[in-house]
Amino acid sequence: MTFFCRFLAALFFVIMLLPAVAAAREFPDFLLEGDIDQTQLDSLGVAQLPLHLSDIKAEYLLVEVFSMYCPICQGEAEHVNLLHELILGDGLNDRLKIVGIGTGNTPFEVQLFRDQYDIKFPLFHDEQFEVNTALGQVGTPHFVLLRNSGPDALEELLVEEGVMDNLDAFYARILKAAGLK
Amino acid sequence: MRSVVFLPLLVSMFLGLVVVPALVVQPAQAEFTKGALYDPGTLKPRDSKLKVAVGDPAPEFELPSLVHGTVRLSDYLGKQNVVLSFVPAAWTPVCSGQWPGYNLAKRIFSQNNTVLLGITVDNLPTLHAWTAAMGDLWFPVLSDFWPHGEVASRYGLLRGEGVTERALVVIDTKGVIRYLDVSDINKRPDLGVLAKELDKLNQ
Repeated sequence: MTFFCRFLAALFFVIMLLPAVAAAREFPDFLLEGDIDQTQLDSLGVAQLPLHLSDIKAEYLLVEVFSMYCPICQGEAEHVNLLHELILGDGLNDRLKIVGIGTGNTPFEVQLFRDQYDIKFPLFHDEQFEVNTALGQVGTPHFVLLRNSGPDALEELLVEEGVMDNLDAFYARILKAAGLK
Repeated sequence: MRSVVFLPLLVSMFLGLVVVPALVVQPAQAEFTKGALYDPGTLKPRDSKLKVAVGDPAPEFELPSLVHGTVRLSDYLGKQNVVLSFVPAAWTPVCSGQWPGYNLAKRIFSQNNTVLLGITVDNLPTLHAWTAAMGDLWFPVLSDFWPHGEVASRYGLLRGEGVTERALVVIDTKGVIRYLDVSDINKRPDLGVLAKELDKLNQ
């Protein structure tokens, strides 16, 4: 019985520690292209395109991999806009920035998505699915919170996919994972 | 004695913190969750021979639609341009993305006085379930199920395995074909190209 207890305890702690280990994964420092205007470039703290994710002047990045063709991404667009407003409202925009990557989308298709939902944060295009392929063909929308420590030093802190269960709860998880609150 | 005390506690913690959360299913807003779609793999890019060409009068047809009753191509003659969007099959990955994209692009069609007609060889009940998962589509969805693929065949767009090509046919208000695109069945056509073709209708 004692052996079984010890085995169960060990199994419990191994399983509970797994997500923490997984969260330490490195994230590719993608080179991104997009129709980004000067205001948005300024907000990212970069001078020109293309840019690497790590070029963005922020300690934390929330990357949304989306597709203009994905009904769930369409349904979530307004929630992501609200999330962006929450970050701005909390004065965290210098430390945490959202960027979207339209996977399998042309610049025209990304612009259509941007216009349709009046999206204020920068959207890039991944026309040939290169980002999605590198990430292992993820479903959309796919959210990744990164700690940005410079070139090729992006660390995954949180990964979530699909519909947000609750905007406030999602925001709270982001802040907690980043240690911002 | 200590084992007797700690065992139920450990089992409870294990079940509560590890097993139960893994069984909780996230609420779904749309139905295209992983596993909902059938992936046919990579198919022969094209498997039919066109029977129409740009400049030809578009063959007339009459098909049942999901919510618009029977739709005839001639219903739009002299009134609106028409885009026929043939997609191969319901509940497959590329097709299940294409029409939601067009759903977002309604303005591109309406500003060019154009109606979009989606066509597959699936039957109406299948189309009902499939399009419901996409949300509300603004355009009519037509079933070319019976006689099977007859309209697609009339345009030369029926493949050997009984599904249609992934094709776009732009027809002007005079009923003349102005643009034809039979894509690689494995890839979604570029919406920007179609938008440019629709702009040309007004030139």
